[in-house]
Amino acid sequence: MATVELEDVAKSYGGRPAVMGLSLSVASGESVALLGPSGCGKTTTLNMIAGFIDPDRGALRIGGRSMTGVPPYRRSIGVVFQSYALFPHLDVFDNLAFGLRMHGETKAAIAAGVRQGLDLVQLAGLERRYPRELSGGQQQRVALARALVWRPSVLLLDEPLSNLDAKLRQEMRVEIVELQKRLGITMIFVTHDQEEALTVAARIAVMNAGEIEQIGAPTAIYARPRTEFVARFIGEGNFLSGRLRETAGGLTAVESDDGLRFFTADGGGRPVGARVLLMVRPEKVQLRAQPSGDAENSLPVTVDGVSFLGPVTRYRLSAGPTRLTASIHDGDLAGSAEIGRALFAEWRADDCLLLDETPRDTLNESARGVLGGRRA
Amino acid sequence: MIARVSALGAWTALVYAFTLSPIAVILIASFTAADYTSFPPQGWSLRWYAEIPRHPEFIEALWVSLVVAAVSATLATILGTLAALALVRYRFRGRAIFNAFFLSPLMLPTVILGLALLQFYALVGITRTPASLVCGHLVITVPYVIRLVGAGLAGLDPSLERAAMSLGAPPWRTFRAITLPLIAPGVTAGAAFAAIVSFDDVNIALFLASPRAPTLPVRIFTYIEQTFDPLVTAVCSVLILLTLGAIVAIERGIGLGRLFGTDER
Amino acid sequence: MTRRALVPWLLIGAPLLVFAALFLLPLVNLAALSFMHFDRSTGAVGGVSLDNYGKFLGDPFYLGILWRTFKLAVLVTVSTLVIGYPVAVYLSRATGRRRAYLTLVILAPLLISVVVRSFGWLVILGPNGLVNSALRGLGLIDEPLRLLYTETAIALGLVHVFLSFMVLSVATALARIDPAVLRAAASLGAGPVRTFLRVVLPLSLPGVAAGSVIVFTLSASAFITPALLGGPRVKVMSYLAYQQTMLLSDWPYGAAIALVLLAMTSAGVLVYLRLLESGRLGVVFR
Repeated sequence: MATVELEDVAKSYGGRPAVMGLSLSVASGESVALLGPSGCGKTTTLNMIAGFIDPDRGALRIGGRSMTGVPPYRRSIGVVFQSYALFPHLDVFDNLAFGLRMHGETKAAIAAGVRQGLDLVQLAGLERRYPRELSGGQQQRVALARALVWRPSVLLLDEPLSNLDAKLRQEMRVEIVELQKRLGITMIFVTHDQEEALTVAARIAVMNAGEIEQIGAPTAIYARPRTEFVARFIGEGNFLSGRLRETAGGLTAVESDDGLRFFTADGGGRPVGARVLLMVRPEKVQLRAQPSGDAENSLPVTVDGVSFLGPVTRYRLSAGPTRLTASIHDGDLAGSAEIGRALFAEWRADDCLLLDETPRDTLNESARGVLGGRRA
Repeated sequence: MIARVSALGAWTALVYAFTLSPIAVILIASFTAADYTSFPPQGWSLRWYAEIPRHPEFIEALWVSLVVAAVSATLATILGTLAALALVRYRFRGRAIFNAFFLSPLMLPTVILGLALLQFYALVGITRTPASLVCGHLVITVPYVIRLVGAGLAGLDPSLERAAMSLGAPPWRTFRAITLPLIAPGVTAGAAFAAIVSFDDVNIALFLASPRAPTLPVRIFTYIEQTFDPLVTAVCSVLILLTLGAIVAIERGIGLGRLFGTDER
Repeated sequence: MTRRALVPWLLIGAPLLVFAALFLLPLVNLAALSFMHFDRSTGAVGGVSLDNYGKFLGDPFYLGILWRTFKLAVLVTVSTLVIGYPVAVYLSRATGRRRAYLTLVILAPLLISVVVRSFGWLVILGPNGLVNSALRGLGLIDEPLRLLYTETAIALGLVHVFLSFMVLSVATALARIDPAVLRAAASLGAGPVRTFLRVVLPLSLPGVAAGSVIVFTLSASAFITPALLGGPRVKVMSYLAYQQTMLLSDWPYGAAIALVLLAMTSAGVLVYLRLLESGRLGVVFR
């Protein structure tokens, strides 16, 4: 299995930059997700790793070997395409055998390889079927097997699950994770679905406008997003804009634009008076009938709306012009929070953090849509 | 609603009869026993069909037509497929202009093309032979090949070729193993159409065909200009039957709709 | 240029050369020739002049031929539209097997050489042909009518030859109409006639226009059919060009006539393209 290294890789299309000075290092056997909205450059990056596109500058190495000038058919990469790209005029056997044949394997080796490949994805017995006779899920598995059967060093996947329905998608995610771990193959995949990235990847690279904004383990990215973009793209959040007021006893006080005071344990080395965005995840917001005294942040709110979502119930709350969302697990309030009810929304200083506002004009339309509008 | 459909249906039947009548009339009139062409025929006989072998110029002309059609179709298919690959698969400067350029012969009246080629050949010093006729036919057949192969290519998922490359296939093997089999119906349709267009052409052949070895349609035309005795009805009938045979073969092979691009497959 | 960027040029090289040599150059030569002087006594060609165009545009005889060609083209276009539109409607409504057969029957004649198809009209309209025999058989006439070698005969032949193009063009446009649109019209209170006039007809206009351009261009430049059905005495532009070039050897004049014809058909195409771009034809689906 091989490492993949990108150093300062860039690509522009007719003056429009798609990828800007991107650097990434993937360890052997690691699985990394390139996550971002459409137009962020993730697919372009994948295509450059595969060799379908040549970068304008920068170095690309697979297994330590430079890939400059090396065409895709001489790289040790297996690719699973969004449309699966199964050869429609060949049956499943010939589809799987294709890579083995191109690499000059013997007939016996090909037959054995195809058999193993089908076993790998639990599709034994379908050798003679044609792609059009298979269901979406089966096609996806054949595509996966075809990419793996000739033992490449790196597996690349381009939004492989986006054409499947929700249930199938969840099943396939788990299968892909297990497959990757069993084979120990280096895997890089592109997705716009944050849940997918969180499930499948060991590390997530969140991309925006051609650059990686943050890369790290799913838990780290979720708990400690470094920019507003990353915070909004992964998970949900309450974002309150305001100014940093003072720091005392390990706590930083922030005054929101609506005049409310909040406390966070995250100072971030920012100066007093700086504009900040306070973020707290909805599941960290508790609702109490009376202030508990446990939390540094306690806000009197009114319930504007209630959405029951099964495992959680989401409450839309307001305190004057300030809006908050709380995600309460398993009915802690046991049917006692209807619309109009006055409650206290509380969260601890440890559970919120400070971010810099991402200027909206630096984002493309898709990213802007992700981030949504911000209250003026 | 039903009454309207019947009226439409009746009109359609009339129009179809109108469309088929000249062909039917020729076929029927060819069985006349008399010395002149008439409809209905005076008496029934096969004598005029028997007469054909005694006029070898028609048989030679048929042979010339077939050879010219075969060669034109082959060359047109190769040139047209190359052009279609370039125009559909790649983005390069001037692509739109080249596209329009290659398809423009379809907008040009063939008479003018024939005239222009005749004068050009004289200028350059090329004599009128079946070979130079093939060159003339290339101009009117290649656009159809480009259209038909291009349509097939456009319908091809581009990631298929990338998939092949990722599996280790260099460009030439990718083309042979993946692209070519998948565009084969379009290529076949293009070849068939090119052959038919070349075989049927009169406007260019009239100007370019060698006077001693004309194509069959030209031979028929010059004959009819003088006289239209039943011999030519018999010859035309043979031509009709040959064409119908080709149509059936094409319909069985790739479907006629695909030939004209009305097939949504 | 990188190797990858060179590929399309390699592919397109051969066809481009062939077309440049066999298409572009001959046309340029034709245009150049039309501006040259032809000496009738010596048969020599040379010298730049506008004589040929002057001769054509100044002589009412030749202008008459231009007018006749134009008139016939328009007549044939309108006729194929009127005759073919109902057929297109029927065709677009048919489904499955029947539709396939209907399409086949209307396409097949296009694959038979135009010489043969036009000759069939000679047999139908000739003194011993179908029409005269029928009329005589019914006792309506004693002497055969002279139907051939008239403009009507040419028009009839041209309508027959080009009808399929119009039918297919309109049928394709009709087939592209989303059936839900028709149901929407019905739900809003429009009966079959009003649905047709206000919904179907406007939406079929792109097909009508495309078919009209094709039929007009083909009819104006048709050679064989007018030559056979009109004869040397009822000339059209294409025959005139042929005659001047092949029979009278006045190549420059023949070239000039060809270019005037080309101008006429190109004007038709330009009008069509303008209409298309202006959006007057509604949305055109590719």
